[in-house]
Amino acid sequence: MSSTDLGHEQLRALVELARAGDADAWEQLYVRAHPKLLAFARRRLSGDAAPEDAVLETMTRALERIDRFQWRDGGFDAWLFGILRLVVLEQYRGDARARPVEHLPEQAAPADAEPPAVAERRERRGLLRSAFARLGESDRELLELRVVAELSAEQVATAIGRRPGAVRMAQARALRRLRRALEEVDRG
Amino acid sequence: MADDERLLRELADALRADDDARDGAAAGPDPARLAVFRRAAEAKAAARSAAPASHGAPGAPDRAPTPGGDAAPRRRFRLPRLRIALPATAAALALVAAGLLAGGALDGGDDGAPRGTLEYAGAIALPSGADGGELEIREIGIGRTVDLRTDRLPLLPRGDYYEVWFVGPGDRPGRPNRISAGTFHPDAAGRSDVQLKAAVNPALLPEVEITAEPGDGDPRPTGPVVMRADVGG
Repeated sequence: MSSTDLGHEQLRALVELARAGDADAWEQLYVRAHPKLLAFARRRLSGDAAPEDAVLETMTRALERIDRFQWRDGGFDAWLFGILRLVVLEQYRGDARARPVEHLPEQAAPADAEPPAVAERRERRGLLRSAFARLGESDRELLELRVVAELSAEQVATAIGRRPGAVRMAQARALRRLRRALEEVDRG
Repeated sequence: MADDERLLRELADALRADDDARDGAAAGPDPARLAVFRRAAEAKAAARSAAPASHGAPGAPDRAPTPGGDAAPRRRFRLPRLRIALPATAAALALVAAGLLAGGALDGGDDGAPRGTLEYAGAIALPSGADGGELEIREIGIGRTVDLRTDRLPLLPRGDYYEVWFVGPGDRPGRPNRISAGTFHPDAAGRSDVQLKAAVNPALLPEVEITAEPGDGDPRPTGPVVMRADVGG
């Protein structure tokens, strides 16, 4: 959802059409935003329906509030993720069972089934996920906004209501903790 | 810094592989939800095209963008709670569409005086069938206001609360067909005089229930029904 599918000017034109009340533009925005919003929601809400519901709720709130959206800071995507983040938090508050999804380690393939380089990469991914699971909630959320939602530090700042510098510092601290956790899981 | 970027890329790769393995690649939006959203967008577009008649009206709210973005303006509609059945969502949005088409400025007055069309005024019953209090429901364009006055609800343990529901046909635990209108507590003297707002249509969800809910964070109706009224007319 960053800029691979639509250039900035195209996105801006589409959002302005939506703001003017064009239902087709809204549908295009929904389809465009859906994969990244859903990927983020799936990591933060368990169950099949809840993440899709969260995306629908996010886009409906965007529809409702589009008159207040302004082109500044992180842009439209950051604004959407800011809404989604609140939707997820509301869901946590409203449902004790709705919590970040537990991610199981990747299953190892038989030793002779894949080349060593592939097996090594698979193992490294497994270690990284285990280490990631040991991080605190705020570290995980920030890093997921960076790598799952593919937001820049500036966009994350807009989404979570902090200054870009504070986000960069928080990211550096989160990555430090991730490295430490990686060493721990590597040692077993 | 370069190390951080490399670690971020590795993490992205690891999480993406995990997500794809668990959920499969996203196959695009769910058609039912997209259709619900599309109807909401069309309703908003219709409301916008009908707006000039109400925009310049004396006392009409200023809809201009607010400096600071998300600062304040009041919500005009909201989807029902997540995890409530999709048909209820569609019904709520249909109502929103009808309300928006009817033309803005239908919120309750800032002076607290109820506006709109009175649809139900009568008793709400205790489980025994005895009168439990008074219930009024008004149509206000974007939904309904619910006014409840009763002194028959006992104070609840700290953290627990009462919740008002509009309930439709076929509602049952595994397949809910209900929308919450909100929650409340009696005051210290045991009186409840509350006004709630909900984007519901009593023609579709014709029963009002009040449940006593434990403060366990579960948004579903898990407590006993303490009052009930048929408001569908």
